Amino acid sequence: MSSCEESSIRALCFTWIPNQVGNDRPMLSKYIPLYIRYNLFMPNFQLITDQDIVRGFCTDSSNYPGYAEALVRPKSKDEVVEILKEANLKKIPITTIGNRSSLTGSAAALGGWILDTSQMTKIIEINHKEKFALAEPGLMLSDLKKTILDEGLFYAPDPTSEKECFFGGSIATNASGSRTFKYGSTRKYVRALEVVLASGEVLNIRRPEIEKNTFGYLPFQNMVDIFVGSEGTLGVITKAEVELIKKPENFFGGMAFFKTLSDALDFVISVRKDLLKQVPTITPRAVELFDHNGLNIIRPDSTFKIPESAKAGIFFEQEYSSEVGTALGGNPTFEKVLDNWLSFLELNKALVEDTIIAEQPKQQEELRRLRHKVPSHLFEEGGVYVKDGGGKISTDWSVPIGKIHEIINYAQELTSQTKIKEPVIYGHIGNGHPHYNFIAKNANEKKQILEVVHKTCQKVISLHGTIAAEHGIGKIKKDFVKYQYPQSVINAMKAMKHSLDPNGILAPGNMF
Amino acid sequence: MNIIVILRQTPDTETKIKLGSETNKIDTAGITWIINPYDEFAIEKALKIKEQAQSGEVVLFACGPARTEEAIRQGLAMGADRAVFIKDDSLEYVDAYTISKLIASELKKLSFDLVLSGKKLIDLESTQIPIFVAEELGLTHISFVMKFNEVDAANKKIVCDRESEGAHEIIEVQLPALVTCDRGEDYPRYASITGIMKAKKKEIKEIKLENIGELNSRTEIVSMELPPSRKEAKIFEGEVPEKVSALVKALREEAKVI
Ligand SMILES: Cc1cc2nc3c(=O)[nH]c(=O)nc-3n(C[C@H](O)[C@H](O)[C@H](O)COP(=O)(O)OP(=O)(O)OC[C@H]3O[C@@H](n4cnc5c(N)ncnc54)[C@H](O)[C@@H]3O)c2cc1C
Repeated sequence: MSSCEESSIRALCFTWIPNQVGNDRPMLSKYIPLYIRYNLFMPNFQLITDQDIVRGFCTDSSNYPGYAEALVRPKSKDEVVEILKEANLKKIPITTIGNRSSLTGSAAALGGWILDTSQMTKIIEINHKEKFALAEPGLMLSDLKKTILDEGLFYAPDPTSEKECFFGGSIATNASGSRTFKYGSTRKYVRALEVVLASGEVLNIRRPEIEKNTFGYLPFQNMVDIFVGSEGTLGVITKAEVELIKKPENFFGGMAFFKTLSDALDFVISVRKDLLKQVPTITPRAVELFDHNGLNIIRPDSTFKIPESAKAGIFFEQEYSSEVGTALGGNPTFEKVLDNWLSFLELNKALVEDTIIAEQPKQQEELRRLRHKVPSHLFEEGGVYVKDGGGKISTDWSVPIGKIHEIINYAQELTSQTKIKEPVIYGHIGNGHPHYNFIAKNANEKKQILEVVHKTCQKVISLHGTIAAEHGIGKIKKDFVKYQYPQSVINAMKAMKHSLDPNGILAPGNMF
Repeated sequence: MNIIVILRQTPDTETKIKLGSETNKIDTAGITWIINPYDEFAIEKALKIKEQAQSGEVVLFACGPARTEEAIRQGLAMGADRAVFIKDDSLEYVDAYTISKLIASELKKLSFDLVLSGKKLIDLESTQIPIFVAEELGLTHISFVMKFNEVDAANKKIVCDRESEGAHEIIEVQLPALVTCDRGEDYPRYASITGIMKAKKKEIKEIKLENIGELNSRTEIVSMELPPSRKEAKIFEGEVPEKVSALVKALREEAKVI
C-alpha cells in the first residue's frame, strides 16, 4: 500500500470510528475487525485487541469487574503521547495500569483502552550527590528499592505490596506503608514528575524549592502534589524523580504481644506521647497491629512462638546507629535502645518474656513476610465468595491517634449487632490507620457489612479522620466520598479534572 | 543431658561477595555476618532437647576471629547457657583440618553427652569440621540429621532420622556421639528481648590460641575468582503470537531443549 493510499484510508477510518464509548458505534465499523481497524492505520503504537489477552488485564486486586476493547503497552513517553493524542481525538477512555495491585478497582478499566506501563522500566539516574533517583513508572517498586539500597542509599516508602506494585502506581496512589510512621508517605519523596496529559501535552513539573510564594492557590503552586495520588485521572506519569535518604545504619524488628486489644492500643498511644518528649524513650520507625484474628492468620506458619494468651500483637522496627559493626556483640547504642524498649514494654503491659527481637536480616524479612500474609490471606479468602456476591471488604479509614479507642469500640459495637464473622483488624496502627477487614460470604452479608462500614466512616469523619488513608477511592469507595467533603469541594475537584482532561478520557469511573 | 554446639560465623546469604586486594581472600568490608544457618538449626535442636529433658546445659563452642562473638551472643540470646570461644583474628584463614584439631583439643577437656553442629558451612560449602572433630575424639558421628525421634537422657541413647537419597535412615546411637544437623522441621527461634538482656550476663570463656598450640594448615588457598557472570536473558519483543513463535524456535534451535 502506498503511503498516499494509507493516509486516505486512515482518514476514512477516523470518520468511520469516531467514538468507541457506549453503543452508538457507527454501522460500518462493525464490518472491519477491531485488530485491523486499530492497527492497520496506526503504525506508531500497537493495540492488542485479542480479548483472551485483554481480559487478563481488566481487573485489579479488588476483583472489580472491568472490561476493555484493547490493551496498549507503550515503551516510551513518546508512545504514550501518540496514544493519548489518538484516544483524545476519538474520545476513547484510557485506564493507565501499573501492576494492578489496587484494592479499590482504580486499575480496572471501564471500556476503551488499557494503557499498561510495564514496558517502561528504565532507571535513568541514581544521583548520590543530590540524593535522588529518576526512573520510569513500570519498575517493580521492590526492585527499584533494592537497586537503590545496593548503591548505599534508601528510598523510604514501603507499601506492604512493594513486591507487587510499580513505582508509577505507588506514586499515582500516594502509597504508604509501615515505615510511614517515621518517614511519611510517598508524596513527601516525589520531587518532580513527567506527566502526559489527556491532550498529549507533556508536563514537566517540580516541587518548588522556594520558601515563599504568594502567587496562586496553594495546590497550583505545587502541581506535583496534585498528580501524586490522582489515581490515573489527570495524566500518565512517565517519569518520576524521588528523594533518597541515607541508608539507616542498622535496625531490628520485633513483635510484642498483649493480653487485650485495648492494651495494644494503649501501648501505641503511649508511643506517640513519648515521641513528643524532647528525648523520647523509644523511636520506632514502624508500629503495626495484629488483632487476635490477625494473629490467627499468621500462627500456622509463624516461625516464632505466638503465646496462647496473646489477643493482640504489635510489630515494630527500630533503627539504631553504630560506629563499629556489631550489635549483639556489645554495641552500647544497641543495648541502650533495647534497654529502653524493655522498660517501655514493661511499663505498657506487654507480655515481655514473649517479645521477640529479629536482629538478623533473614528474621527481619520473615517478620515482614508475616505482616504481608494478613492482606494476602484475606484477599484469597474473600476471592472464594465473590461468585456468591460476597468477598473481602476492606476499610482504609484513619483517625487521629487519640480517637483510636473510640472508633474501634464503635465499629465493634456495630459489628456485634449483626451475625457476620468478626473482622480482622490489622495494619498501620501507629498512624491511627488500622485496616478493619471483613469477609462477606454472600450478598446478604455484604449488605450488612457495608452498612457497618458506612456508619463507621461517618463516625470517622466526625472524629476528624479520613475515609481513605492510603488505598484511594477508585471505583468501590465512591459512596463514601460524600461523608468527607461537601459537594462544592467535590465539584471543584471535578472542574479541575475537566480542565486538564476535557473529554474525560482518563480513568473514567475513578474517584467521582 | 549436656550438649555442645559447634558454631561458625558466615556471611549473610544476601551478601554480594567481592574479592579482596590479595587474590586468595575475599573483601570482608561491609559484610553482614550471621550464625552459619545450619549451626543455628543445631542450636535450635539442642535447646529443644534440653527443654524436653528438663535438665543439662547447652554450651556453644566457637573457634574464629573476634567478630565471632556476635554469633555467640546471638546463640546465647536464643537460650544457650554459656560459651567457650577460641578467639584469634588469625583464625580467619585457616583450613578445616586445623580448626578441627583446635576444637578437638579443647573439647577433650569438657564433659558432654552430645555434640551438635550444622551439616555444612554455607560460605565454603564445607562439611568437614565436625566430622574431623568426631574422628579426632574417637566419637561416633551421624551426619545430615533432620530430627531426633527419641532422646533418652536416662539411658544415654538417641534415635536420629537422617534423609539420604529420598529415603529415611533411622539410626539409634549410644552417647556420647556427634551429630551434624539439617533443618528438618526446626525454625531457629527468635531471641526474646529478655533473652538478649540475659545473654549479656552469660559466660563466654575465652581461650587464647597461644595456649593451645600452633596453626598448621595443611591446605592453602592459592587464588580465588568469581564465577563468570551469567549470560544476559534473552527478551523477545513484539506481539504475543510472534513472541511465542520466536521463543519456541529459540528453545528448539538455540537451546535445543525441545
Ligand atoms: C496485598 C496487598 C497489600 C497492599 N498494601 C498496601 C500498603 O501497605 N499501602 C498502600 O498504600 N497500598 C497497599 N496496597 C494497594 C496497592 O498495592 C497500592 O495502591 C499500589 O501503590 C498500587 O500500585 P500498582 O502499580 O499496582 O498500581 P495499579 O493498581 O495498577 O493502579 C493504581 C492506580 O494508579 C494509577 N496508575 C498506575 N500507574 C500510573 C501511571 N504511571 N500514571 C498515572 N496513573 C497510574 C491507575 O490508573 C490506578 O488508578 C496493597 C495491595 C495488596 C494487594
